[in-house]
Amino acid sequence: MRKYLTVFAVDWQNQFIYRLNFFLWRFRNVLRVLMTYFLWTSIFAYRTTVFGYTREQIMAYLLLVIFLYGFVGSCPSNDNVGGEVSSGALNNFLVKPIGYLRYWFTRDLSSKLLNTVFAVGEISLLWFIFRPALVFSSQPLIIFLGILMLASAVVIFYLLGKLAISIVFWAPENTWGLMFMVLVFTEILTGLIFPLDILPSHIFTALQFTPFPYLLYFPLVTFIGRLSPQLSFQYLLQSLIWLGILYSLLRKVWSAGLKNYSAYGG
Amino acid sequence: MKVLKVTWLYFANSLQQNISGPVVFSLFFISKLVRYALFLSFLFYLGSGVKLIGGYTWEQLLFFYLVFNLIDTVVQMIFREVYHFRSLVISGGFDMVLLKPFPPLVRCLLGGPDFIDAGVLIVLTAVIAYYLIFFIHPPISSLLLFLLMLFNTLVVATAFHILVVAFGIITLSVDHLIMVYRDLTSLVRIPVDLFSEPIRSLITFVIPIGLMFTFPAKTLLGLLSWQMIIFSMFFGWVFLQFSSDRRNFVFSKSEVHPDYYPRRGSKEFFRFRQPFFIFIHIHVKLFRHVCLTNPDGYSGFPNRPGGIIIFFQFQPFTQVKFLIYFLR
Repeated sequence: MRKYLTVFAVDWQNQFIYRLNFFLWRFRNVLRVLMTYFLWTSIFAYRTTVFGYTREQIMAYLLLVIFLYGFVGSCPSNDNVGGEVSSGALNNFLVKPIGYLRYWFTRDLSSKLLNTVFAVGEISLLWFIFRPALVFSSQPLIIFLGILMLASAVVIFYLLGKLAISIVFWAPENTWGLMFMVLVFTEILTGLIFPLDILPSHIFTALQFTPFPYLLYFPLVTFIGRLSPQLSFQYLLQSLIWLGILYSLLRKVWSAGLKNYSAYGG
Repeated sequence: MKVLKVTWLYFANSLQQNISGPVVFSLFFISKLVRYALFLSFLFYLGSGVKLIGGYTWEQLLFFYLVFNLIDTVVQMIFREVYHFRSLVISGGFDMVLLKPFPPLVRCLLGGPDFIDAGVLIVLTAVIAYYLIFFIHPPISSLLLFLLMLFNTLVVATAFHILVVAFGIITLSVDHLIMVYRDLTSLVRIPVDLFSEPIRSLITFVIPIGLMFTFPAKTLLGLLSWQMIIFSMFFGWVFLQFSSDRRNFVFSKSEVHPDYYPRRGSKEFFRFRQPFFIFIHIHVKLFRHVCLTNPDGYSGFPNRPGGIIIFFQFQPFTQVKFLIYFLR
């Protein structure tokens, strides 16, 4: 455990080297939400509720999206693992007493912590600029379930990313293909742009059989108090089932990939 | 002629490279189509519940999104090599580019087009043609103006990518500057008019993504005034001159290739920049006219923060000109 704490500390310091880079990454996150904010503002210009959402609930949703996406979506491992496997840099880790996937998960956590700190600042700034009225759940049990869902979402996104990248063991030139597809689905089907329950009920039900709504949508609607404790608990269980499925899948695929892996020199 | 020949070779090599990996090609191709289809479905579904969004019907909103994708895809396809520019600089590979008797800027901009986007482009063009024939029925004049505005968008996009390349040399600490441009452009997947002031003016005139992506579609729908069309043309040209100026400054400062880029302050450098001053002069006059006549509701733009930002984009000499015009 101590070695991972050291990795965490070193990575935390490392992130302060490229400050402009980090600033631009945060700027990009805010930009992603601005389009959605103005789209919904135009929609609410002449009406008070749309698809069962009030203006306040949508604004709270959008501000929380910035926060949650910064937390769940900041995953530097997705940009690096594929390259390290295809270039053979993985050799360095295989001969050391450290778990490669745990090593990158620790680095991701350090990145998430930094992103969370900045996301709080951005949300405060946006709140001061636009002054939206916000609605959040005040029940401690609901908030606790929301935090558990969020923790599960972090692990699900990590596992999903590594599973997509694992294709690199068999096709070293293809480090980004499947990951790109995962990111496309993440953009629309996680609730990043709109709350998923505005979709027809049969599509919404079908989406629950994919891991995507558990990344942002379900934790988010739990925090803004749109779910009862029973429903929140049910979605938490569904989220944990996905976590289990992806974990066992990744273990199998990764060990099969390592058997297939070969690299020379370095 | 030599430049055209070599660029053609770059295009041919890229095409061969793209089709040599059919699995990767198919994955990206399908993913991109899925992305467009999902967002289109969202807009379509939104339109079924909300008939009018910011004064636009859902059919118009869908058309704006389709035109956005058309432009975005063309630009990505042509300028894909810019995405690899930073790694070229930090690995030292850029030295090899500079050593060769070929304009490095052309190499950095057009050296590796992405033909996966060409496949997407065919599908998009077919969908837009269908949409035009069955929903919009534009007159020939609007169609011609639309094509002219598309060309103007390409000019502005070229300018944007030259700026990205220039910044890539100034600072190596930025990982994905081109991705910042991509995220900025994704703001205008919806018409720029849905944004409130001063953001609307800011993303139209200062960071001209509204001008690039919304204006062509508005022209085709007959929603853009002739003043704004003329203004856009000149803005495009001036922006290109502006970014070329930055590029020249960066290249001359880094003393990388004195044959192509005269040293700053030299007689050749001023001769090189003369057209820039002329176009800035015309641009300032037009800009003032647009601000004063306010043809498309860009309310009081010069008095807002965006006006100050655009002011600082120009050289001190031009800034003085600006002040004289506005204080008159």
